[in-house]
Amino acid sequence: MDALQQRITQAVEGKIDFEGQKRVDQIARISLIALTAISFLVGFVLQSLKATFVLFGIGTTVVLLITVPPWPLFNQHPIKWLSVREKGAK
Amino acid sequence: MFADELRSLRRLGLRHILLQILNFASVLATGLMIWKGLGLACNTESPIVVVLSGSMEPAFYRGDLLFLTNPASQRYQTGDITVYKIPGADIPIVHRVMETHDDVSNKKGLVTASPLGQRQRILTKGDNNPVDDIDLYQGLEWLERRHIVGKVRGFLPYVGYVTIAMNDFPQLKYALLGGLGLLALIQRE
Amino acid sequence: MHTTYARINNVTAFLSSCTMVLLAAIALSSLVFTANPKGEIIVSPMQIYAGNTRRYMNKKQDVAFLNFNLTADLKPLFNWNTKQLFLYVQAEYTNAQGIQNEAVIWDKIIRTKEEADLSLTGRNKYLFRNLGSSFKNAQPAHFSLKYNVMPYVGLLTYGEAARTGVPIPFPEKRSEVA
Repeated sequence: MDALQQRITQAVEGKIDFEGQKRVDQIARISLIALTAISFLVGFVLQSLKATFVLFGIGTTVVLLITVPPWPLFNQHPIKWLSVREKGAK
Repeated sequence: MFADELRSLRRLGLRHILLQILNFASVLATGLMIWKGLGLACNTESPIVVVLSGSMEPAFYRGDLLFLTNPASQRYQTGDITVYKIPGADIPIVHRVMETHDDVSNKKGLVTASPLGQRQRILTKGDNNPVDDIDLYQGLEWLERRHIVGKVRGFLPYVGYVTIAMNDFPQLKYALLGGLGLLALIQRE
Repeated sequence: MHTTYARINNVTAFLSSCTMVLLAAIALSSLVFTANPKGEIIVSPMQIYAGNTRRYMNKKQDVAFLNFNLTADLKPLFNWNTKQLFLYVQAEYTNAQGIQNEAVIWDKIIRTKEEADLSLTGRNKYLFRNLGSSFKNAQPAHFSLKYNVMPYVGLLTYGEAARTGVPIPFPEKRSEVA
């Protein structure tokens, strides 16, 4: 019962490790800047605002899908804690 | 459910809460200053307005955002889209200028150099309305410069719909304000 | 460590900045298109009748009627950020009291590029009246075809596509119409 509850909280919180965090930030930043530039250029060349916003919308959805859920890929570097010392040990 | 939040509030202490309240107030003050500064630069009491009616469709729909200026050195011309407020009417109206009548010389026969010195009589009409606005003027025969808030220079669609939604559903406003306030208080960074 | 909530927060904050930059870029891109198409407007001689107008309930006021021909190819004004054209014919004249007047007598909203190649004859859509009760001693009027380009996002721009070469005089009042 407790294990189930823990898993649910984990799924809702969706924590990722520090390496994953760094990567998500990078992916989001670079892909959104590229997406903005590309959708502007495509729209400008085709002279169609519709093209711009369809592309921007689809791209945004993809970026959100990649960055928001806690994919296992972002959890490959768990923190290695030092083992707890025995009480009284030197 | 709120036990956690309450505990964190207690842990942060009174000083932290006061600091967050001050931060919140300074955000509000900055917003107000930007608004007033814009108003000063554009010479208008409200540099940004939200379209509330459909009388300018298909140009402007409900919820579109308009940017206004009211340059003192320029007269209004036909085709300009003005935002005007008749004394006694509660909401400003966004309509297009159809007629202008400028009194170029004043009674002594002197010509005024600035458009502000001239009396300008204006008639407006909404693009989507079949007739002009005389019936909206509340007894006035013409619109004059003093009734006009500004002329529309820039346009941004949909963004203003948030304010319309908040007017239509007041609960949304309180929920939003409450949520923001709570977040501001609890945030630790 | 990063929770889902924190990630949504970060990504959407950056996304809104990107959207604003995109909108600003689209608005600014309109400045690249500087088309200034010209056309022609021909106005036939006016006729003036006395009539009752909505403005003054019990007073007779002279109303001018006219026909005009428009030819103009305004297609170049349509670019990716053009939502519609507001096209209007404007009369400009100085009346006997020295008051300068401008009045829109006809307008049309053009929403597609295909409609923008104009060749039409029209008559005044709105009542053309002077400030007082008659057009007596008013100087001849100029007519011009003007347009207002309205964007999807950004600045509104104005221009003039055509203008009458010779001003059109106001004639004597004709007999009344019923």
